[in-house]
Formats: sequence, C-alpha cells, structure tokens
Amino acid sequence: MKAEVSSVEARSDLVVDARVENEGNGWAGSGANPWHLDQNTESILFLTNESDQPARIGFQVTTQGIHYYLTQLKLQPHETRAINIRLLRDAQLADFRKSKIPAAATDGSVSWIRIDNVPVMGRLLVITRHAGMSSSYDCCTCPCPPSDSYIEVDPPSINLLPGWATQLSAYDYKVNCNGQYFSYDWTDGVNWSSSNSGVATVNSRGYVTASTTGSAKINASTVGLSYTWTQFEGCYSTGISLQNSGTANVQKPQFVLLLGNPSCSSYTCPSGDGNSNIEQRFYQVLDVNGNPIQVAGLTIVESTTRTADTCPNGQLTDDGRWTTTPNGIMTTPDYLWFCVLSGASCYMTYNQYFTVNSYPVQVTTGLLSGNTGSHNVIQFTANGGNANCPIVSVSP
Amino acid sequence: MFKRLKSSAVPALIIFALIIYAGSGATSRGDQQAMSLSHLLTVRIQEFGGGNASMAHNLVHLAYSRHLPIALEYIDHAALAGHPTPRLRGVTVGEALRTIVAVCPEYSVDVSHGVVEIYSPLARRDGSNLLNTIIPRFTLTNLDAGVASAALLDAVFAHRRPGMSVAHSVAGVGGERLSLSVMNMPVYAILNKIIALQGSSIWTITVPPQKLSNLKDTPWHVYPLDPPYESIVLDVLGKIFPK
Repeated sequence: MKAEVSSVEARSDLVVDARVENEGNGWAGSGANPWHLDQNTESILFLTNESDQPARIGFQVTTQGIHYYLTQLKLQPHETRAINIRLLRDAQLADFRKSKIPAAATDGSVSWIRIDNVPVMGRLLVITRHAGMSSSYDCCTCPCPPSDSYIEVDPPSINLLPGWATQLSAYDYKVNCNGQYFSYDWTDGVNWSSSNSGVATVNSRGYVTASTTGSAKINASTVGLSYTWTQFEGCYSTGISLQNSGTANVQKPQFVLLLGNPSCSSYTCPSGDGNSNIEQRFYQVLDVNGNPIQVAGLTIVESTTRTADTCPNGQLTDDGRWTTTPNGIMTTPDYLWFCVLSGASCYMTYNQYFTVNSYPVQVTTGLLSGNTGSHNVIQFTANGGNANCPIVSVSP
Repeated sequence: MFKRLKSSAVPALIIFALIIYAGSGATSRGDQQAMSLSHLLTVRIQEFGGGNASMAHNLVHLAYSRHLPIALEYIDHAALAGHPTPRLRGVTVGEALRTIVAVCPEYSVDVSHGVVEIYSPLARRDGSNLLNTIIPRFTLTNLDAGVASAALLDAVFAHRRPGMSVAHSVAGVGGERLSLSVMNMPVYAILNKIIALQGSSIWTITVPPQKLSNLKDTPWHVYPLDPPYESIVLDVLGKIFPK
C-alpha cells in the first residue's frame, strides 16, 4: 500500500491526500483492495484515466467465493469514475456469468486492471461516517498491461428452432502479472464464423440465425497480445492466436411426450352439478429424433374437436396455452375434468391436438415402447351426475 | 322503531356477516398482496412509452415488466389499435398506469383490491354483461388459479343456463393454490379476487364487448406473469378483433 490519509478535519469532512506511487512512479496500473459496507461505512472506487485515449478497465468484486465482473467498463480520456460498491451490490444485476454480488455481502475485495497501455489511477476509499475514519488503498505492481489468455463464447451451447436468431458473446480472459484473471467483453473484436452455414449463420457481431435442423460450431477467433517485461527491454508484447467456439443446435418440434402417469383426484363441481375427477398431464417437447428440445419459453397450444356428445347442452372449454421450462416441459399441467348436472349420465368425446410454436406435433406416450399418433382422444363419462377420470388414448 | 329496524335488518346483517366471514380465510393473504401491489406501484420507472404501441399493449408490457397482477376486464378495438402512451420519464408505476389509461376516457383503473383493475364503468353497469353476473355462492378449495377461473365459468353456466355439461382442458397457472368462499359477488370481482390471491397472474377478457353477454365463447383467461406468457397474452388480445 502506498497511500495515506493525511488528515480528518474538525468537522469530520474527509480529506484524502494520498501519494500515488509505483515501481516506475509514473502510472498506476491495477488494484486489489478490501471493501466493507455497514450502516456507517461506504466503499467507493475512484478510477481516473490520465491519458488522452479511452481506457478499458477490467473489474471484479470478490466476496463469499463469488467473482462478479463488469465487462464493459471503459473510461473516456481524463474521466474519473466513482463506483459505489453499495450501489453495485444493491442493484442486484447479474454479470455475464449470471453472478450477482450477494445482497447481504458486507466484505470482500475489489480488483481492477487497465487493459490498454495507458495510465489509469485508482483508489478505493473505505469511509467510516461519524468517526471520520477512512482507508485509502491503491496499489500497482504490474509493469505491463495484462496478457490475453483465452476467449470464451457465451453461451457455449444454444438450442434454437429454425428461423430463430440469438446473440452470442465473446469474453476475453486477461491475466496480469500476479496471475489474476479479468474478463472483458470482446464480442465486437473477434472474427465470427460458422462451421455449417446451412444450419446456422453468424454475422460479424456474433448474431446467430438458425436455418434448418442440425448442428453448427460457431467460432470466435482473434489475435491477442501477450506481454513480457525484462529489466533491459522493459515491457513488450507478442501476438498470440485465440480461438474458441460454441454450438448451435437447431431442432424442429415433432412430438409432445406424455410424462409419467397422470394423476387424477376428486373435484367438486359448482353447486347444482355433480362431482368429478380432475386429471393433470405434463408434456415435453421432442424433436424428430426423440431428443428433448431444451428451450425455455416454447409456446404449446392445444385445439380440440368434439366427436361425440350425449350430454344435454354439452360445452367444451379448451384453449390451453403453455410455455416450457428450460427442459422443454410444460411449466404447468393440462387439467382435464368434466361437470354435469346432478344425476345426469352421458359422455363426451373429443380429439386434442397440439402445436409447438405453430409446428403441428404428434402425441406420444413413448417413442419406443408407447403409442404415437396425431392427437389424443379424450373421453369423459358421467354416471348419475358423477364424472370419472378421463380416458385418454393416442389416436392410431 | 328499533323493533322494526331489527326485524328487517337481521337477514341483511347475517348475509353481510357471512360475506365477511367467508372472505376472512383469505383476508390476510389478500392484504399481503394488496401491500405488495402498493409497493410495486411506488417503484420509479426510468422511461416508458413514447412509441406507437397501443394502450392494451402498454398495459400488458407494464404488467409483465413490473410483475403487476392485473385484470383487463374490458378491451375494445380502440384500446388494441390506438391510444399510444406519451413518453414517460421518472414516474412511478402507479403514475404510469394512470397515464396509460387516461388517454382513453371510457376506461378506469382501480388498484384498491390487490390487483390492477382496468375496466369500463359503463360496461360494469350493463346487466347483460356476463362479468356482472352475481354468483350467489362460490367456493374453491386448494385449486390452481387456472382451474379456479374455469370453475367460475362453470358457476356462470350453472347460474345462467342450468343443466349444461362442461368438459374442460385447461392450462394451469401455477403458483399459490387458492381457497376461497364468497357469496353474492359479481364475476369480475371474483376473478379479481382470484388474481389478487394468486399474486402473479393476469386475467384478460378474450372476446369483444358485444360478445360479453354470449355464453358460447370462453370469455376470459388467466395467464401467469412469467415473461414468456407476455407474447401469448398479446397474441390472445390480437385475436379479439380478427382482421
């Protein structure tokens, strides 16, 4: 640590007069500093770009074993930026890895590095209110900017339907002389390509568009810089090749698979009607090969046609719409039940069809051992006003 | 006088007490939801509106982006085709709601029952409107909100056209299961109560105003407030007035 708090004036206004110094005594390059938050304590990182060029900054907060990154932090020439750790924590915004600073975190460390070879000064102030105490840290030990280590494509695997498009990102992992890693968004700085453009294409900014079913590797590549420092030559860089890829799986919905054995339990119809039984059924969306389409938010829509009805004034309410979990399973069940007038004996039969994102799909109870057909045939029967569990079969 | 008042008031008092008692099981949860909604309505929005999106689209978008339990009790063509919201900056969610609805004078908004109610005062006075049907007694025990909504439709059928047989295939809504017992309450108020108790869903009318007295169609639906359902709700609204 090479800074000090020189004084606290009588009114407890904080005065910081820290001398900034490092090996070269010319620029400050990185920091790794403890922060603390409580009712009386704030922690604020000040970063100043002392150059005439924009300065990209690698930044991470570490607490409770979690690393939280800001991957697009950039200072304009001569800009000073104050990053309030409390506000950052309380915003509860996820970083590119979906990590958040735990809302209850009170201690941790904050690390930052300059990514470009320009002078940036940083100082973390840990300010204790009322007591007028503060800590001021800045440290700077690396003589060179961090080296590019590897790139990561995020997400590493995506599942798409034909016609869908999505954004991939590339993150550059940089390592400084202390072996500490920082990531920075490099989506616009890499070259993107697809191994199978018939299945999916990618544009120069990582935007992937799916065409037909199949799989394609989406590659991100670039040339990075690796820095070395010697006493005689100072800091110098050499180019290194960086490459990584993600996978785009393009699947078309073909089946909905009935999961498990549907449960059926008693149900009380509104007054004036008899009793009933209500059944719950869950389905999972599969592709033509019987593989689950592991996409959240697919839209499953049912439609029905009544084929037989001996009940007086029969009515069918059916327009069910569901979305899916990340495993391609309905988020909520399809509930089936039947209510008839007290004492009535009759039956109603109807066909139930499904589409998934407008693709008509077949219904199956198991592609190998079960039944598969274009739709379900559902029969409700009531005897003496009491409706049984529905009999559901897959059409031949 | 006391004697006369007493004899005429007793049945009314008993009914009133029954209503209060019937609702009391859900009161604490309903109050919690109302408190939660009032908190949501005070949150500030950085920016909203300013585009060409219709009033109905903006209401749905606000509900899904702010997780507001909401009731779209009445939707006419104008609400779907026009009445865009002016650009709003730094307003609270409650202020945004009032501004969205203010551009369409036939609509009102009420947030006092734990749910954002978007309704037409005129339609609420229409005796032929299914939603104004007074259900003498409606009881639910531990049901999904989607099933509860369909059960209410059964109750409307039973009341308006006794002797009907109704088969259901209904998408669940998930979340909290509901128990509820009310008496002499209009359909729209029961639906609002279902949504308020469930806490994370929307109910919307699915037919145009002229079909609100028609029992041939399913006139409303309940959907979860999970983000993927936003497009489903907009799709359903878009089909109310086929082009």
